[in-house]
Amino acid sequence: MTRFTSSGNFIISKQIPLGVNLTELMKNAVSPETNKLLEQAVFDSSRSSSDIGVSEATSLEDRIYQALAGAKILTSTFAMHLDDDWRCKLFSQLDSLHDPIEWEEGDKPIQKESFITFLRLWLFIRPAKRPGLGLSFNGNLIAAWTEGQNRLTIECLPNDAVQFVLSTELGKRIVRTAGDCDVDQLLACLGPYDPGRWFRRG
Amino acid sequence: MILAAGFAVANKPIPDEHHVLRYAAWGRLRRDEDGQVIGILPQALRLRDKEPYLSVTWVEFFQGNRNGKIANAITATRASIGIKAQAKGIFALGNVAALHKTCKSQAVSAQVLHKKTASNPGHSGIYGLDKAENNLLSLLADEVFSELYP
Repeated sequence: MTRFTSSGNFIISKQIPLGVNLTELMKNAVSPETNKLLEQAVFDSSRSSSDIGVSEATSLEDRIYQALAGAKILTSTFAMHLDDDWRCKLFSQLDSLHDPIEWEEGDKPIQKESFITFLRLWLFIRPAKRPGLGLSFNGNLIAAWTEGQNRLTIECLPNDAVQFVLSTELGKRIVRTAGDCDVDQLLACLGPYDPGRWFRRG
Repeated sequence: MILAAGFAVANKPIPDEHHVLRYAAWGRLRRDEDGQVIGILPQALRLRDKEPYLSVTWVEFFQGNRNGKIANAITATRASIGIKAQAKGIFALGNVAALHKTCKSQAVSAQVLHKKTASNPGHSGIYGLDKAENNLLSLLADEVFSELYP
């Protein structure tokens, strides 16, 4: 079910409980091998909530280091689905986002559940064009695709949820909208706006 | 830094024709796939928990020509929030009238008030963004705070 807010945003009600088994739709959409990875990611996300890999670390540098290490270990689970070039760029962007010099008071390093949502997002849309990454102050990874006025920004939340905001040229107008949905619903939500304009090359 | 006379009244609304400067940390910048910075993300304008207003610096509070005022506002902001010299975050400049108009288009009533602090005499706050949805924050990031300074 889709509902629109007063400002034109739309929200799709969650059809599956957060962090539990995959829907039949998802199972049919990806290969059995990918399904195993997705199920493993759901299992991982059901564990305790925290910065990735952070246990007893107290100093900022330690917490950042452990969160980054945790993200890279999680990525290795998906290694066969990420080409080497993208994996290097992903790690490089994550390192850059976690530079202590750039840290603002109160910022959190990347959160495990957000990063799992990002990896699952990647498996679902498999974009040819890669995003620029950002990090919210509460540790959610942000993926942004920008092509002039055509902009798509996706914030990866825990438990498969994403928040997206887009602007796109339709005729002479720039249309904007925003919404909340689950990873497996994202392409359906973006459908009316030709998501290939962000994800395709050329 | 020399301050312009006549503007040092706390909590005074900032005139529409004036500008405010927002610091966007490195993680809240819009980048292309090669990592080139091309703007700020909506998340750079999102209030943190219990934050009553969005902190900005009033550019015309400071003296000088346009570039001088901006440079002074950047210096004051850097000092007040302890931005390290090597930090690669950027400062985004926005016009107050454009901010009001954009907020109004999304049914949000915003106020930009001067809130002088000891460390930043041009410190100001944008009130009303606690009711802002992502669509509005995106509009503000793309169309109002679109002039960027390192």
